Amino acid sequence: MAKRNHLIIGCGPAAFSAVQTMRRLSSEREVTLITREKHLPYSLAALPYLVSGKTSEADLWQADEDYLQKMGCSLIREKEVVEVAPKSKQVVCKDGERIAYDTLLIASGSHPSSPDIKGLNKVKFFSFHTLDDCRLLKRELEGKKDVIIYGAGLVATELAIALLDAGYRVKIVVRSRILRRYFEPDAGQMIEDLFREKGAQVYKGHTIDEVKKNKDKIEVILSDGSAFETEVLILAVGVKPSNLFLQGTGIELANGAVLVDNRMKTNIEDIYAAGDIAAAPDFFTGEQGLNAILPSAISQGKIAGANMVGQETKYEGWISRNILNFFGNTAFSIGLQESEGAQILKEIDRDKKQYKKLIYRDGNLLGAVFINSEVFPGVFQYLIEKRVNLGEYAELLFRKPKDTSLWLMLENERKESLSLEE
Amino acid sequence: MGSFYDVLKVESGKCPADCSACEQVCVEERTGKEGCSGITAVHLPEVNYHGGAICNQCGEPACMEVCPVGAITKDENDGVVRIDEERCVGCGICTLACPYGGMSWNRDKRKPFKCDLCDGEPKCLGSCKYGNISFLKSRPVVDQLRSEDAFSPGVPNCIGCSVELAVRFTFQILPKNTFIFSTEGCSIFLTRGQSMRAICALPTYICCMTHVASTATGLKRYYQRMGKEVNVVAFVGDGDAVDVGFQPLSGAAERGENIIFICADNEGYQATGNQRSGSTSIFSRTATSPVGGKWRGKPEKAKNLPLIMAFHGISYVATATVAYPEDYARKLAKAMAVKDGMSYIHLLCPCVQAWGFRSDQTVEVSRMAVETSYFPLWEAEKGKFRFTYEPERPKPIKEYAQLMAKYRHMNDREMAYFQDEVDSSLSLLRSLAGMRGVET
Repeated sequence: MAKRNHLIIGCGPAAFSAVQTMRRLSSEREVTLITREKHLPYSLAALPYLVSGKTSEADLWQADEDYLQKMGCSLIREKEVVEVAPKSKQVVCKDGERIAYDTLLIASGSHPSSPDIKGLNKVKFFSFHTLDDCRLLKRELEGKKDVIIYGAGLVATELAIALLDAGYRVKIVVRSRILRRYFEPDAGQMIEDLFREKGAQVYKGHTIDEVKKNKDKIEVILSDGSAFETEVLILAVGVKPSNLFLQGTGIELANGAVLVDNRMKTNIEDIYAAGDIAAAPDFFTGEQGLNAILPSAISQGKIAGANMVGQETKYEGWISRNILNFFGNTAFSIGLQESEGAQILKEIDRDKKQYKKLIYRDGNLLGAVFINSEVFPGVFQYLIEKRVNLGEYAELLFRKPKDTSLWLMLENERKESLSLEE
Repeated sequence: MGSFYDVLKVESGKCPADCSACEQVCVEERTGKEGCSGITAVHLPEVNYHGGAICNQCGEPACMEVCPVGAITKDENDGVVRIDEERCVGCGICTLACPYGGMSWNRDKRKPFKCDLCDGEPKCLGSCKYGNISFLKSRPVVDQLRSEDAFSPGVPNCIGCSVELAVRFTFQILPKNTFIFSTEGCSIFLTRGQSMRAICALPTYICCMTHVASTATGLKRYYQRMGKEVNVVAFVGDGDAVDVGFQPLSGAAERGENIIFICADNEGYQATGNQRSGSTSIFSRTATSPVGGKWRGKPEKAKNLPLIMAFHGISYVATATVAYPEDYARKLAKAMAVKDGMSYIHLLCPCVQAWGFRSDQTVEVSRMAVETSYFPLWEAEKGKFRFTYEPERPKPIKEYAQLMAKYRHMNDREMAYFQDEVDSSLSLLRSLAGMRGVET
């Protein structure tokens, strides 16, 4: 039998985790990655730390040429896929080249959404999504002090932390509030306060309606009419799946994302998707949806990689989660913020800047939020993912989260190893 | 060798209520930051739980997979998952990824901290007065393993077969210049394969049970004459070594042939349906020594073949089980190093089918045989006897007997007799070993 050729569109964390899984499970097949970028694989979660200077470009690469060669995969850079042709099992590139595949993984990721702002085409603004964006921004920041970030999602928040750490004067303009998806209003407020303490100005519930060039500076006008000047304008109002090349190919999309089943397979045989482009099953409901975060990209890549080499593996579903380490504080959120019929335990200590919350139903943990509490975040993920029943210990878990979560985890591990013996 | 590394293990929930010595020593020696340590004492008096959590040094570390700057790596040599603190940016995604509480957070440095086994000498190990932390070392075993499995897929042995485990392990350690002599018995399913398909990667010759040792002798002498260094290994069951093939074995020992003779002792003719052998222990229920009527299992005591071999005055004799692979690997290496005579290794191989225990208890039964001193681990090197492992206080033989069906009929009187037998063979060995303690 001829060697099967696996083709991967993209070379971000999902793509790379798929490659590593394929290599671990099978050594025979050929793997090719195609990327629009001219760079070696890197994780965009590292980019804010380039801005703050905590890392350098030399440490950014997830793999160099030697490593790729060792892994037996080829990386085609600066090549954009413009079409997928499932019938002929080929992808078509912008330069006209057609590349054949036996199995295809779509891991093309996302790109920043562009907000509708009057006058945007007349001013210089920056997005923050690729290494090239990051390089341009770094150059622009030199000798400047005032920065406005529009948006307060994951990327925007991490970037704001990096800029504040590096001593910039940062204004954050956000349509709703900071990290809305991960923290409910009171928790979000605590995080916002900590940002303010560090010197950030936060304008929430505002949109930027208009921008104007004002000599060296940019004038920004908000929805309430207030206006101020800035030197650098960064737009980070969220990301959209990069799906242009998929339209009209027969691959099923929903809200722009590629629909996949619990094997990361699309509606078309031999085509898989993972990461920021994929609408995969939600852990709690099984409904397909986007969860554009690094840990999900990695686990989805693994599942896709395994299934592509014929090792049938099921995805348990994604769980929303986020951790933010900022200015010596830690904020961590996992799972659901609210759910029908669920019980919620919550405690806020504004003086100590501590926050804790548990949400559970029928003894099953659904979500947790901790700010500046000493816990092991991953253990809460374990409790949710393994559906460990809290029984009568939900309140104990709330009162002593660290010890109780470890106990529940260790006991569950012990029971699992016992049940294996039976 | 991806999966065999040293690892620290904490017994779950066996700690005293007021002790956090392991965590304290880690804080003092490593981080200097209260609340940040590689091992975490877990105290939950509400449910009377006192234990500890520590990094598993996972094979596929979740922390490593998510690190956006590649600051976490798993060392291919020692298996330790390490954080490169210089490279780490302190994003904390690893603390979110690790499900086992192995990734701690240093608030001062704003970076994660985890157990790295203190470069092979874990400080917490010595701090635990209760023996709840163990440092499981597989490295010495792995160092001697060959990189490839000696068998193609499709081995037909029973699930949980200790002979299969023993053969696989042995053949992984034996170097390429090894010839195997095998005969009828449970190991033949691996050495010859079923339906005569050769599935063993080492050259194997299947002999009649009556002349394994003498046939092996012939090949070894041939290579000696050719001036070529090879290992000639006979791997047989107890039916051959103790009964059917004993005469040529004894003869080869007397002549001092430079072969390695390994007996996988499952205490009976198990491949043909559990007939008793000379190695079957007293009271064992077998097909030919049943329980019922006048019968109370096998009435005779087992021959002690390793001692019999030692009294042939051969170069090296040892006992081993798969429950102590490190010990066995060392003994096999010693046997291979012998150039001036015969080596004999007696492996206890509990049989799932005939002895009657669960297929996942093979290692447990093997270990209990040693812990009760039913099957002491010892070696005799050029006439010098010594224990290679000695349980501090041997457990009563009852704990071994109750693990399996073949002793289930035994009454208290019989159990007491069995205990006396175990005690007297142990004291014989002790006198031979001159009361020497464990040497490592």
